[in-house]
Amino acid sequence: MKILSKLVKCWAYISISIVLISVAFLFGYIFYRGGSTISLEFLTQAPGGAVLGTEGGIFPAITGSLAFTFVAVLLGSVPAVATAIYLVFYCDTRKKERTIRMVVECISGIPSIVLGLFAYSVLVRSLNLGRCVLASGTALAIMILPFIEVRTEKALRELPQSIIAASDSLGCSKAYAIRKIVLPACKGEVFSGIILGACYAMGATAPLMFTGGVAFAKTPTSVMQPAMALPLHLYLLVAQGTTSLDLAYGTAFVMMMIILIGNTAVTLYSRRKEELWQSLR
Amino acid sequence: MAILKIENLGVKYDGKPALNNVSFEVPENRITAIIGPSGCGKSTLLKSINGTIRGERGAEIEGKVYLKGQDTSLIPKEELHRRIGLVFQTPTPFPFSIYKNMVYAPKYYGINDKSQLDQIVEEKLKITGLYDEVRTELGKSAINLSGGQQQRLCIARALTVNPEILLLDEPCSALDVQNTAIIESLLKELKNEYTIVIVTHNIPQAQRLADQVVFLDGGNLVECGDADQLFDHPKIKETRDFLSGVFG
Repeated sequence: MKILSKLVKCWAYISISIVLISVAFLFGYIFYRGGSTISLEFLTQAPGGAVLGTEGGIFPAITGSLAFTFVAVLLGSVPAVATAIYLVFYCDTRKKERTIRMVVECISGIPSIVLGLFAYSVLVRSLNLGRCVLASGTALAIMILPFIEVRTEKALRELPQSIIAASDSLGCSKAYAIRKIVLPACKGEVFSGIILGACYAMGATAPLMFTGGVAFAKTPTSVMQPAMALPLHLYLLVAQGTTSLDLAYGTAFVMMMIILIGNTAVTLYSRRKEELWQSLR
Repeated sequence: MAILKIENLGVKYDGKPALNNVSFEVPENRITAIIGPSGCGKSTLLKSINGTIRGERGAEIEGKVYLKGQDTSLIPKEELHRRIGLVFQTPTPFPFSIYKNMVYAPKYYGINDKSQLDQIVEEKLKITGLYDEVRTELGKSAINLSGGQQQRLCIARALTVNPEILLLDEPCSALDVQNTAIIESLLKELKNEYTIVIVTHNIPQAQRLADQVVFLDGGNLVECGDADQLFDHPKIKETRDFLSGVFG
């Protein structure tokens, strides 16, 4: 038994080491290759050159990515949070709960390229919106909806049910308890879920390809305009061959930094909230 | 005079009986203690009285509960909860200040005048003996109060909606002896204005507090009567066995 326990421990240590080394190598390599490309011009100028992207910067791709993400979060988080609230506080039969959960799980299983195709055929073609931030944002919103819903639902379920019962015992409505107790108490976790969903949306390429993401565009001033996006720009730079590879690493560096900052902020915030909740239980 | 009348009340959870054909009356401005072994249906009875059970999944309810002669199943759930308050076993302060805890329900019922709210807070906290202890710290988080103070806060909060009946589900089980004594003397004072129904595991506590006792076992009402009579001369053998510690 002692040998078996040592073997399991050894296996775990080796696995953890492989994961940590791989992640460190990935980050280190991208930061090493991309870091040297980063300059004020790279961050603030539009791409240029005979082959687009071989010169200049990625400013429209940064603003475009932020625009896509903003629309996705706006369209995705509202139904996601509402679904979670319904499932936790209003759903009165197991059948309804199972059906809604199945639908949410189905959405999370849809390949992102299919979401892109859906947004393209419905929004871009049938509704004649054309390639625009709104069409891509809608595809991304569908993609991140289950992501936000699951995290919000978990946060709501972790709230001591006795507190809701106490509000109920005073004759106050559920809606009042949700507004006055649940949402203020869970806003940190809900916000964390939304930020993580935003990071997920920011890294997605496939839903943008046919719907609103383009090789070159200025910073969008309306949701009805197409825009550049960091992941799509990265894809195009790599597809062009070795001439733009350094700039591709620079783009990857910026994208990872944005996502990393988002994730770190959420982790720090969640840890603080966790300490608060432990004092409540 | 009976303020509450329970008539042939039966509750099943997913077809499994939790209460069978329970009937008794609760006299006004008296303390009625519900006693019995674990799982005998005490808490289910309490939840049936204030209608909390209506929203629970898999619960089937038979029989009637009358509040001042009015069938409670016809009273809107929120109104019923306001008229029959419930205090839980574990203190349930809301995660905000003492003051906000106290004005939570009055604000829901449309009281927004600051002086009126202040008056409610002061009056109800005084009733529970908490006002002098927290008067300078009303903005402090209710979570930081001691267990006994939290439970008294929950009782004071329940009183902010002026219930006609106050139900308490083992309110002292998580408290020490000193805090239990404070809550017990508070309940004795409260009965002058409110009708109290308390579920307790603690027989000596029921003896100290109750005017009327209801003994439940296996979801059935075994015996109900005047506290002195039931504790001194129980009519039913099961009650005698329970009180003498043979079971439960």
